[in-house]
Amino acid sequence: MLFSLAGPCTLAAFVSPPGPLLACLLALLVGCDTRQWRPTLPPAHLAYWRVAQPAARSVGCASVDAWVSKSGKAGLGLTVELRPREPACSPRLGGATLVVAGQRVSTVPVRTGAEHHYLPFLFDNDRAWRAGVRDAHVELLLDTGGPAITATIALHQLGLQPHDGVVGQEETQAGCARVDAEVLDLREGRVVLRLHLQSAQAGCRVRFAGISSERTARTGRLDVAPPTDRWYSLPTRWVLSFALEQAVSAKQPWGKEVLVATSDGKTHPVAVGVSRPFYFRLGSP
Amino acid sequence: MRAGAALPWLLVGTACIHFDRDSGAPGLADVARPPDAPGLRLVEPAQRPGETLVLLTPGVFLLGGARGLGHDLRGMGTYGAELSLEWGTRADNHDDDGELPRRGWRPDVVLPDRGWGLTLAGHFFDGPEVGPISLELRRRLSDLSLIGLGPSYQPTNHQAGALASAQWGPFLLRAGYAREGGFVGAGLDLFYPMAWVRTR
Repeated sequence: MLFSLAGPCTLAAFVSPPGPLLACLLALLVGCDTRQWRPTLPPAHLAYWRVAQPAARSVGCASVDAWVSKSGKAGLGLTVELRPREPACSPRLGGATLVVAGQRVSTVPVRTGAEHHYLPFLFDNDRAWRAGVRDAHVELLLDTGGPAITATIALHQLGLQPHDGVVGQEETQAGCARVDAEVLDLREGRVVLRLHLQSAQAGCRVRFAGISSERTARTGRLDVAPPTDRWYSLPTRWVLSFALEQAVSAKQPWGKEVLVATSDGKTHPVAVGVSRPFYFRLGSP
Repeated sequence: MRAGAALPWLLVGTACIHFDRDSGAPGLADVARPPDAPGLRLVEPAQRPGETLVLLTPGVFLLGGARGLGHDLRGMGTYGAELSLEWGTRADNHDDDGELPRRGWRPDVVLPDRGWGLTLAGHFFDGPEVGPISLELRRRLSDLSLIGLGPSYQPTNHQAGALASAQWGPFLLRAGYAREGGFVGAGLDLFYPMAWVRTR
């Protein structure tokens, strides 16, 4: 924010003659430090739960892994991946309990895939954070064919920014649909986008029809995408994950065209781009 | 030291700082709904919960314009000082040097994007007269724009009146009226907000 540095600017103005008022005004108008200025915002630094140590382990005939998928004031959501290590093994997740601040929060696992379960733990995490609660653990009740086994996953809550990616475009129109993009993850070698598709006309339906540009080192490889043969009623959300071979930066943004087929028989290319914000700061490297 | 000479140093000493009343907070996330891509190892970014702020803002202003409207119109140059107390909110959350805020004082300013406040101002005209003194109710429309309206009092002739302001960043437009005439001026308002910030 241009005027966020009135204090330091004023100090500079008063200690550097001549014309303190003129210098101060100039400093304000130029902006000594505009680090708060950025065209679009990446996710904020907020408090998030994370798995404290690598959660992957072998339990009976199965392998278990877990990661925090959601974290907020209303609680946390843990995804558990349960894979058989032997052909005859069919592991099951019988239940899960979160132990946080001396409180036990139980949940019913939601199956979200062949090997994935989602565990929503609803509790007053805002109060917990403000009370200084930083550690918790989840007890998973696993059935791998023998006696029930309890696996414990340690969690830690800390301040972090999930990623610093920003989308490069505003909401766009694709026939009868409106498409807005959101960066879910941006790290070395991967960018994950979530497209929010909303109806601009009654009865509009959409289908993911692929991506238009050829794969290059810059555009990457599509790893995760909706099926191309399924029609979606609106509103809906699509998640697309790309494996990248080059890093995304402010100077080297990443872009792709997503093809959206609409129920009127047309296919619309929707440009999506991801960048990292450019911080303009005088006097810093 | 004369009071006038001390004023800049007083302002600099208290200028443009904020106090974080907490160490951030969790954001807004729909935890009950499963993630859209359950197989991807990532935490979905939470929505910004925003912030609430209380601000104490001293400021100095310079105005040029006309006074004596309706009676004896003449040019005007004035300067003055003001003090505002404001309560506001931000939809965004600030960070401190790329980290979660830590409880304590920081040297950067944080401004609300909506808010209400009271501003007490004194004008010192270029002549022997002093005044008016005004108390405005101010409405912040964005982080940089404010409008205000309130009563004024001219101590030299005991005239009561009204005064209105509009401000964008350091640019100030102000008009006042009392029974013996009014004034209108435009100029600069340099403000030095001290904010107490709490994550919502």
